Parts: sequence; C-alpha cells; structure tokens
Amino acid sequence: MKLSGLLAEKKSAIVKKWVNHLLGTYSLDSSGFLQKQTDRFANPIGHFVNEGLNGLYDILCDKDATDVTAILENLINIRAVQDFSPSRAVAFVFAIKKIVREVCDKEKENGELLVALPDFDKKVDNIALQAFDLYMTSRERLFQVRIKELKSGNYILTDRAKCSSAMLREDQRRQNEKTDINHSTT
Amino acid sequence: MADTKVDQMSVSVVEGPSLMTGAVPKQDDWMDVPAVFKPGNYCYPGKESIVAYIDKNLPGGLFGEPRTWEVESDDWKLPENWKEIIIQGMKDRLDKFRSFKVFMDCCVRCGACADKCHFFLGTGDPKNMPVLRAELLRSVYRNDFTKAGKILGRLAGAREMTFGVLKEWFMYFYQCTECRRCSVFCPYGIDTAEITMMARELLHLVGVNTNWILEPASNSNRTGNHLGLQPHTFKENAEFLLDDIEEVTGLRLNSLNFNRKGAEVLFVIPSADVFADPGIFTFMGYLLLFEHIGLDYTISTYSSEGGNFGSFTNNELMKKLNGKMYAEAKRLGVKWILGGECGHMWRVIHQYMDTMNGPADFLEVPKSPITGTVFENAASSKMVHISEFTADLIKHGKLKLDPSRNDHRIVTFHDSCNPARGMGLLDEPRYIIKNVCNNFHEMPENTIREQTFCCGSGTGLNTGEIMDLRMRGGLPRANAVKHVRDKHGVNMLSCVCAIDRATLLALMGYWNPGVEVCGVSELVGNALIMEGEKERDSGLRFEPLAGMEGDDNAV
Repeated sequence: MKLSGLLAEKKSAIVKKWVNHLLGTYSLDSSGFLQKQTDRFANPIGHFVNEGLNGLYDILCDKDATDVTAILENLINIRAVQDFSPSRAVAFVFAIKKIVREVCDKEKENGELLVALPDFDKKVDNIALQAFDLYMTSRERLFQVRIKELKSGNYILTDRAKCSSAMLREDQRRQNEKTDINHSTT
Repeated sequence: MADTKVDQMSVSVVEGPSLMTGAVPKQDDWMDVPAVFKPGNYCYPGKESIVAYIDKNLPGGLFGEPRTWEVESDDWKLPENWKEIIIQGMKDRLDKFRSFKVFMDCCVRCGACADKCHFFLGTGDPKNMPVLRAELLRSVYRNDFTKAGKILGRLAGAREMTFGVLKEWFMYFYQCTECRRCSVFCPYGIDTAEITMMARELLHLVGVNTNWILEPASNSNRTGNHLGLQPHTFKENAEFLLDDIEEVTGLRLNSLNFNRKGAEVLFVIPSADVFADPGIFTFMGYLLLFEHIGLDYTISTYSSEGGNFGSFTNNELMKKLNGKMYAEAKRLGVKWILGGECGHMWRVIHQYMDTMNGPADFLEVPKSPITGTVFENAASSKMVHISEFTADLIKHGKLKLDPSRNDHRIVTFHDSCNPARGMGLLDEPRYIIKNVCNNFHEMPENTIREQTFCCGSGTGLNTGEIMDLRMRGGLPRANAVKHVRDKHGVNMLSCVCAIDRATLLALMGYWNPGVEVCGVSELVGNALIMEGEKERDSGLRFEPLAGMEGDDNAV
C-alpha cells in the first residue's frame, strides 16, 4: 500500500489523534470541553484547532501543495498569544510524524510505507518552519499593536495636553539641563 | 536509525520539558497547581506614592501599607498579620453584604458558567472557569466560616489562606473583567462580578494592587478624570475638537460650554472622549447632536470623568468618585444628568449609585425637552444614557439624517458588557445605527446582546504590560468580528464604551487588521444634516465619504 493511500484512508482517525494531541497541551480540565463543544463561537480554540489541522492534513496529503499560510494563520495567531514558549507553540506540527508512524507500524506489509516516510517527514519539517514564520509574524504584529497603543497615549500626553503641572516639570527639567551645561562649561 | 532519532526528537519536543523554560505541564488537583508570575501575565503593582495618596484621601486602611514591591518576588512585603486582615476583611464583608454571603453558600457547582468566560475560552486555563475562579475564594470561606470546612478541611473543598492562595487570587481575579456573561447562565443568578469585586477589596486591604487602576482612580480623585487633566486642559482639549468639526462641516459650534449654572442638563462623559482616538470622534458626534436639537446642557470640568476606576478597587472609593456626579449636578442646579458612551459608569449608576449616594431628590425625573418623553426607567438615578436619548429623538422624527454619509462604513455592533448586561441597553444603539447607517450586520447570536463577549480588557486590565493576556481574553469577541468581516466585509466595529473604543482598537489590530472602531455617536454625527453646513465630503475623521474618494478636499 502506498503512503498517500493510507493517509487518505485513515484521515479521520489520524486527524482526531492529532487534534487530541494538540488540545492535550491545554490543561486536562479544559481539554474535554475544547474537544466536545463544536460551536465555533462558543469554543474558538477547539474550532481553529480542528479547522487548522484538517486543512494542514490535506496539504500533507497533496504532493503539490506547499503554502500553509491561509490554513495555519488563525491557529498560530492563537498559539502565539497563549502561555506557551515558542517551541511549544508550534511543536504540534511534529506530532503528526509520530502519529503517522504508529499507523504505519500497524500495517502488516509496511515496507513501501516506510520508504516513503522520509519524504513525508521533509514536508512536515517544511510546514514546521512555515509555522514558526507565522508565529513570528504574529508576535511582531502584537508588538506593533503595543507600540501603537503606547505611542497614541504618549502623543496625547506630550503634545496636546497642556497640563500645568506637566509644564512645570518640563520647565524644571529645562532649567536643570541649563544648569548642567553651565556647570560643564565652567 | 535516522528515523528513530527523528521519532525521539519529535516526542521530546512535543511531550518533554519546554526547551525554553524547562517546565513540564502537570495535571494535578487544582489546589496543587501554583500561580506562577512572569512578565506579561500580571499588571504592575501600585506605586508607593499613589497608594499613599489614596490612603491619605480615603483613610481607613482600605489600601494597605504603601510600599514598593515586586509581583515576581516571593516577598510581597506584606504586613505580618496579613492573613488575619484578609479573614477579618472577609468576615466584615460577609456581615455587610448579604449578596456576598449568599454567593459563597449557594453555588452547587453545576458548571453552567464554566465555559462562558472569555478568559477561559481564550486561555484554556480551568481556573478561569467562573465556578473555579470563585472556588479560589470560596475554599477559604469554607475553611474559616463553615462547620463542614472547619471539620473536614480539603475533603469539603476548604483550604487555609496561604501566600500561594493570595498569589492565585491576584492572578485570577485580575483575569476577570467583571463582565457578568457567566451570571447570565447561572441558574442561581450568582453575580460572579461581585465575587471578583470582593476578592479585589480583600487584596487591597493588604496592599496587593495594580497601578493601572490606582493611578487613574487617584487622578480622578484629584482633578476629576483619569489622566489628571486640569480644568483648563480639559476645556482646551474639548474646544480643540470644535476646529475639527468646523473643518468637516463648515460650522463653528457655539453651544459647547463648561460649568454653567442653571443649565437644564449636566452631560457627563468618559474623559477619553476629549483626548483619545477614536473617542474624540464620538465627542464630536455628541456636540453636533446637541447643536442640532438646541439642547440646554453643560459639561463639568470637576465631574469630568464618567469612568469610575474606584469600582475596580472597593465600594468606598467607588462611592467617593461617583459622588462627584451628584455633587456637581446639585452645585450647577441642573434638572437631570445625561451620560455619554461609557461602560462601567453605567453599571455603577444603574446598580449602585442610588443606594450609595442617592436618593437624588434634588433632581427631576429626566424629561426630554425636545420630545417630551419622560424617562421613567431613570426615575431614581435621574440619569439617561445618550443612546436612549438619541433613539427617542429619532423615533419622534426630530433629527434630519442622511445615512448614506456612512455608506463607506460596513458596521457591526459590539454590546459593551456594562450597558448591555448591567443596565439592559440592547435595542437603543441598534435602532440608532439602523437609522444612521445603510450597512449593518449583526455578529452571531451567541456573541451579542445578553450573551455579548467582553473586549477582554475591562476592569482596569487595559494596560500594555499584559497585552498577550488581553489578546487571549478578547479572542471570543474578535472571533465573532472576524466572522462578519469575512462574510459581509465589515470594516467598522461600533460600541458604546470608552474602554472598548481604546481596547478593541488593539484587539482588532492583532486579530482583524482593517477593522476600525467607533462610538455610535460618531456615526450619528456623520449622518446629521446640520443647518447651514457645507457640502460634506468627509466624515468626522476626515476620511472621504463614499463616492468622494477622489475629491481633493477630503484628506
């Protein structure tokens, strides 16, 4: 049996394991809910994990498809702001290797399957790298958001508001600077 | 061999200790999982000078000993008898607030609330399930105030107050925005927000606090608003916006005035509306509306803040800051109070003002001078929401509107938690939007109205140092906005809350770039046909109106 055939045949079982693995990175108390609730608005994490991994699996099975940005973006956006180290945030991609190996091992005549595995692994590695790029894009955007928020606040405080106490402090600072300059030149 | 190595490595990465932190996730009983503070998951503590100022102006030991302390440290420099202070504080509150006692006793842990919290949905952390968050406090209550807890201890879900528990409280009661979505689903009607309020009161007693809440609260106490703007600055900022209005409409408004005795109406706004983008556009909308109908109003530079950060600390400071509204209404001799698009201001007014600082029998039951409508719903508080007021004007055909001036906006509406669940303001903003816009799309049913999802940054959590946390808490809201953006091309998220206007901006920036945020009154301001105005080619943000994109005059 060819690997592509096996992957197509066992899709639902493999993806389910993958989803369970990823949801298992959340606390045990929560993972039951995250798995069961199917309403996408009542359970955004569960929804995007399911959607993301199903889409990702299709790409893994399609030998021509390589770009996973549209598929993974939502999921990585979520992982990037949750309480995970960068490695743990994207590590779920590698888990598919182990899951697929377990499925292959159960097949009786799996010689042809095992030969095809290195190519499959390469594709997984490639996706993992893209996932990390997406993770960084998310983090960069988060920092930009924070900078924008800080800037807008500072702008108001420094340029528009003419608070007398702030002006007084500013005057004092300038006076001190002048004094410092005078001291350093004399 | 190579395969085996890859296999081992992948297992190691996926299931082994984190490469960065070395932490291995465990699944223990929740009482055994400690709260761990690290940069990004906690708010900075109150500055010593700020705590000292508040303590001086509201004596009684409500804010603990002013000191400098670090959240990540194991020494929070607590008073020696901090445990006794907490337990005594709990006893005092159980005696004083019947609701607190009932909420501690009557939960049957049915779990109806468990998956309703936006912080739980965004973090997957079980301690953010409202029932478990309340257990953090309830477990100590059982230990010290119930027989079962005293005898059976942990078997009865009781535990002693320890430093670890205190850390848990500080972490999780500052991952609750008191939005009350969980309360909607509670069969007993437990107001989980009030449990958080009690926990925060207790934390303040031993000086465990956040600066982002205390500094605005102390500024409000001193000058009347969060930023500490003094009267002349507040006035200048507001007047500055008249220039912008003139540029857009060709009209110089003359009606803006401050501290005028004898005005019919005192108008109270969240101060962000006079200095922060996009609140300033909402403020411009208010001014155009008042000019349009010739309202006899005034704005106070003393009660220049609708927001009440005191309500995020304890009921005493909430009462003190809220008292300014009534005091100023009395001093100016107005008939009633009109309130702007603010969030928790309305919860304080609707649920607490009357019993804290009322009855305001020196005021009249609000009556619209334009339509004659008597706002019986505000007969006690004497305060009307700008959306109720505007919707009534539209209903009576008192406004000349051109909704096509908002055709460049494809709008959805976020029910701000406090006006929606805190006072039942659900239909008025929608009625307004439908009359001033041609493109309006609702978000999914289980994310709006009573079931609205919080912005994730309310109750003083709108600070930059916890941006990651805010994005997690705001995920359910952002997810619903994303849905209408993708389906209908929504590009404007409207709301009636100043904290929303500030924080949804960041939330959209991360989750849904391209979606802007506005107050409902901004949309009203765009649509209002003013007498003597020039041909309008741009909106209040100077953005070109639909069909005017190529016009050189529109910047």
